[in-house]
Amino acid sequence: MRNPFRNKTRSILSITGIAVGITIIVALGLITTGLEDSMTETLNDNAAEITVSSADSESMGTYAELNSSYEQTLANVSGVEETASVLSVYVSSDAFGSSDSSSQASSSAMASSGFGGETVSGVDPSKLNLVGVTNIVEGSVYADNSTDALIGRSIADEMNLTIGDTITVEDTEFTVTGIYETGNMMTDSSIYVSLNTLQNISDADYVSYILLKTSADANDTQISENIKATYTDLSTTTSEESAQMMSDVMGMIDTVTLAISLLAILVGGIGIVNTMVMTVYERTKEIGVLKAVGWSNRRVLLMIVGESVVLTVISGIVGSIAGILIDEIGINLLASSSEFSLGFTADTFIMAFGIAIIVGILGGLYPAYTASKLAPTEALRYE
Amino acid sequence: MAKTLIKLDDVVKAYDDGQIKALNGVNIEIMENEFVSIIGPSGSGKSTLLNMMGALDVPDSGSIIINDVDLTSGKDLSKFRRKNIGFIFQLHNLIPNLSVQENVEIPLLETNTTEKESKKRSKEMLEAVGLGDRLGQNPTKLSGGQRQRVAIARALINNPPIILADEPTGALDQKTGKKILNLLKELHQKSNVTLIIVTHDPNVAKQADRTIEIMDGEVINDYEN
Repeated sequence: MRNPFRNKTRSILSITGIAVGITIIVALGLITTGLEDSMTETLNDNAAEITVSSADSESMGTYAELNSSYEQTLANVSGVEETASVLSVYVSSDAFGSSDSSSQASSSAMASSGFGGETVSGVDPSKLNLVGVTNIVEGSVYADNSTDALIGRSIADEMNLTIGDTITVEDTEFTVTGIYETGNMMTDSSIYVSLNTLQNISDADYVSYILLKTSADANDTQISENIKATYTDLSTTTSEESAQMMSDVMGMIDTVTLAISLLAILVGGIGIVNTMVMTVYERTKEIGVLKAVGWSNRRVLLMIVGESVVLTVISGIVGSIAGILIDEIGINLLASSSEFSLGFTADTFIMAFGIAIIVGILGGLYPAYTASKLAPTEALRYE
Repeated sequence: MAKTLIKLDDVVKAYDDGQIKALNGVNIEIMENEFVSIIGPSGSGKSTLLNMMGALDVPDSGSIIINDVDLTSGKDLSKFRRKNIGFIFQLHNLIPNLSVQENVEIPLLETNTTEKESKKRSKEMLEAVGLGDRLGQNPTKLSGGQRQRVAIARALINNPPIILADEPTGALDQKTGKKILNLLKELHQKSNVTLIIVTHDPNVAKQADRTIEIMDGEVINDYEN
């Protein structure tokens, strides 16, 4: 056990090399798993399957005006069970305030550290199930035409909002009366108010998008295609498409993570080979002695590979700790901690240690083989 | 009549593609429990001869049979060494980052000895060479004579029938060298091992029961002291 540390500087350097690779694997692994967890959190069965927006909408999140009358039209499309119109209004972060002045300072400080703005969505209170909101954990749902607001757990934590705090939209103050929590980070980052109220105060007779809930046996893709074919000024997205898109993005992140990690591991692995070659070279005579006193080639081989694995396993431990620390610190600096949680699954660590051990074995194998094949007399003569 | 333990028959060994003939047709027979010294000037081939007897090297031609095992059969000889040979080198060759006791235990790692048994035997062995109070010490902190004692303990730990010593006193001052030699003689008498010492020092050589003189890879003299 003490052998790997005879040359401390060199061992520490090669440990660092591998540890950097492991750090990247763990750090990125925890983040991607965390992201995947929060994205794929059981999609609400009651939520809408198809989102219809104006064909003029540029991309997800920014919606062109959509005539309100489409809701009635779409409700008549065969296979569609329920519809819900949603109006999204962008508000800047200074719209958020607390009911008492003392916490106002802290909440605005918090808000300004965020991304600068949020979207307030107007939905008929009876149709909140279509946007995926079901689990009210505090307070209650707003009444139609009221200036009450229902907010998600994530945004409540991020903006430091509680029941009784206010959100200003178009000079109208909304009061938070309810908080919901679904477990999905995206869903929990929304603010919902009465659609009628929001349309009135923003002088909008249009909506941003319309959600469609289809019957259980309906073919969502087929319905979606039909709508697009019939109404050429509409664009549709099915939840399947969204999920597919999400998993494509995740797949890409995973691939990039893997590529970066492997590169780091490769560099570290070369370091280990170098260390072990030097070790064998320096200890040629010692290996000769071990063979002279009866050690078999196999045992010499195991000794060197063992030392190499000891180095990489230490790298694995150091790298895992460093990876967790970097993530925790990074999340605390960039966002409020409750908004995003790391995906602590055994998989990430099993992979990190698996790679560490494999690099240890592979990196040690060549030097160990050289050592085991040394002729004892040559080794003994070596000075 | 004692049993023949080591038999070398017309052993030839050359280095550097036959340029240097280290051994040139050596015939030697050594009996059980003998104390033999091999003497000769440097480059005479005596260390090569010792390496052959210790199964560290194989001859180009000729045969070596030790304890009924043919060493020229070409198989892995590590097990043979472990069971039959205890080596003592001119330079003690201890592992610097292991304690004195751990160094002595090295040969036992390849055997099925329990850790407890290992500790017990290495302690007894170190007590026998007069280092019972140095078990946990680092060998770099020992004097040359003490280190050589550790090496002797290591050579004897597996109770091998043969001890091969290559200039065991070569790196020591005369007084310490004499002590080490006496220790070896004492162990030889007590435990009935066959002791073979390679030296260039005639004073050391004549302590043995029998001396073999080597010159230019050939035996030139073989006599009882």
